[in-house]
Amino acid sequence: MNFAIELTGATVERSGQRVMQDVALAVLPGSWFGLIGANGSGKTSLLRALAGRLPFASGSCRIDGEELADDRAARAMRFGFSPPADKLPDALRGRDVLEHVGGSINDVRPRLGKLHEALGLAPLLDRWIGDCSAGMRQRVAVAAAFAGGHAQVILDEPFNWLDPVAIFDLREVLREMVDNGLTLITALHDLGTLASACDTGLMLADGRVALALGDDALRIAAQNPQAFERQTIDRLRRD
Amino acid sequence: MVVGGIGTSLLALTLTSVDDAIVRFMTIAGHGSRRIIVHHARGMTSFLVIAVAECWVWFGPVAAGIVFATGMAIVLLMTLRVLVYRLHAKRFADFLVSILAGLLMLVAYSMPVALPLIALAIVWQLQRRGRAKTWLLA
Repeated sequence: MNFAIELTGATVERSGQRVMQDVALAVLPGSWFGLIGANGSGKTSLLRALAGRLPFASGSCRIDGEELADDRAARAMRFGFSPPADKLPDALRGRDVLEHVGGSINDVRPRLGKLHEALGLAPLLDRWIGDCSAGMRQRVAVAAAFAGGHAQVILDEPFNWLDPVAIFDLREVLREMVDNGLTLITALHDLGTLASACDTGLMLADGRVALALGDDALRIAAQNPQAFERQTIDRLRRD
Repeated sequence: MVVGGIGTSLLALTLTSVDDAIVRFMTIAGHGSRRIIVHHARGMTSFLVIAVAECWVWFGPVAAGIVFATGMAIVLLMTLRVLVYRLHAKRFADFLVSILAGLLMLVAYSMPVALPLIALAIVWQLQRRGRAKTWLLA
């Protein structure tokens, strides 16, 4: 099978500490891969390493069949990546953020497609980031991941700080984009979204894979989300 | 001429303010040092061209040369700040820039001929270290 992303025995270190070890995962092209786990379980480190924002200490990382574990810059160029909302500079406007990531706003806008409306970006383009609420910053940060027009996108907890309407709209548009060929990897805390929107996933605990969730498992989870939530919470408590 | 010189220097300084958060964001977004420096130096470059030309017309070539040299020194200071902000947190970066600026002033006073070489060596070293930080989000 041809995977868009394939990770084997991957290890990430931060400040000399091993924060993720021996992680293996495989993501099919045109699918939504969800990553769950407790705070500090290694989700953010894994996503940043995949997106070339952190180096891998060891292991293999194949993207579109090409081994890129040792080439951080090449990984960074393969993925659209949402910068942490709190790292957006106060002295830039929404438009500036998107232009720094994806070039002219006239080029960025068509790449965003329906996301532009779902994220309510129009009033944010001329607003200073310093004047934005946490939710507004999050909208700009999510849009930034798509500004470069990548076919593979990584979002770290994209639904944080968003209001219920924005969560619903964003989830719907992301699902539609995935159905149209986008390969999406997201860290999530919402088990309902994992069950209903993701195709496959992984649960991390203490920097290791605690549970791999295949498409069958998530299909069953979508049919009975309450039972899935109970089982997953029990598992997270145990690990 | 003195008033003009002080005014020019102050205006040049305000045009070369460097926001550490923007430098870090552009670094995370994959921009190299050169692009970040160009982004920050755009206003200053236009100002310098106009200021040098105006000084030449009103006060002569010596004044224009002084304005040009002052402008270049300010651009060098801005470049150092951009390069150091790519490497370190703001507080330590500002401390390091003040040390480097002091060192350059010392060299300018004691061995002016060596100044371009020393300045280039510092910029090259910082740029080399900063290249490894592009895209990095620690």
